[in-house]
Amino acid sequence: MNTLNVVLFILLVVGVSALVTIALIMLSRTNHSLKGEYDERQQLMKGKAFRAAFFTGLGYSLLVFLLDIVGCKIPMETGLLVLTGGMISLVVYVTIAIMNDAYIGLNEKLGSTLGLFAVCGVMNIIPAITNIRSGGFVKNGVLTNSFANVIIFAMLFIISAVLVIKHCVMNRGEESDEES
Amino acid sequence: MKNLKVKAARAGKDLSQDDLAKICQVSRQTINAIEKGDYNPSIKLCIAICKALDKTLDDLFWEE
Repeated sequence: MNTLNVVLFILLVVGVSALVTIALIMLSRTNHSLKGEYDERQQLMKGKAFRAAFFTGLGYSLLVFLLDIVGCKIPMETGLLVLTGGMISLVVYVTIAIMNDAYIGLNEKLGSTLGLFAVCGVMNIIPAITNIRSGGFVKNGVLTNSFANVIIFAMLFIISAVLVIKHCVMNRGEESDEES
Repeated sequence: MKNLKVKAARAGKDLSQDDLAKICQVSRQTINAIEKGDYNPSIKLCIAICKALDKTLDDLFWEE
């Protein structure tokens, strides 16, 4: 495959992905079953979670910036470094939202959310295993962008664990409070 | 501070937190948070709860 074919293939993938994304956004605006609905307390809690995630991302960026200034080289490729910051912020956002019962909307089910996470997890763990078999993630002493799949898988695993613990353990306690 | 008036009115109507939540179109956890005093609902939600429980705002949300 020559360079032109590779570029055309990438453009095709990006184009199709963009079309699918736009179609899903348009569908979610017209079909309420696809759009998460949240009550006023959940929206408030999501706002608080978003603020915490924003400041976590800001803190991470400042830390990376300061480490760069003092000459401390982080052995990661730039893309992976940026993605890690995004994923940390995302985990903070989702964890706070889950702990305040604000992540799963009124029209959503725990099972379908966990199912979606499982599918995304499998889609990330397969390329990660393939990368491990074909020589690992380190190249010239630097963690390569191919490690992104492992980071995303870890994020999904953490979020799923928090979701299961919160809904199956903590909410059971609340239900028994209701009886008293 | 716990809102025992909402809890008592709900129990009086023989409704669970989940039932009341469905009537008011909020999550069960939101009703639980209101009863525990962890969340102050908006006037819109207060009215919805009052209508669901056949009570007035004074009955459920006015502190003596």
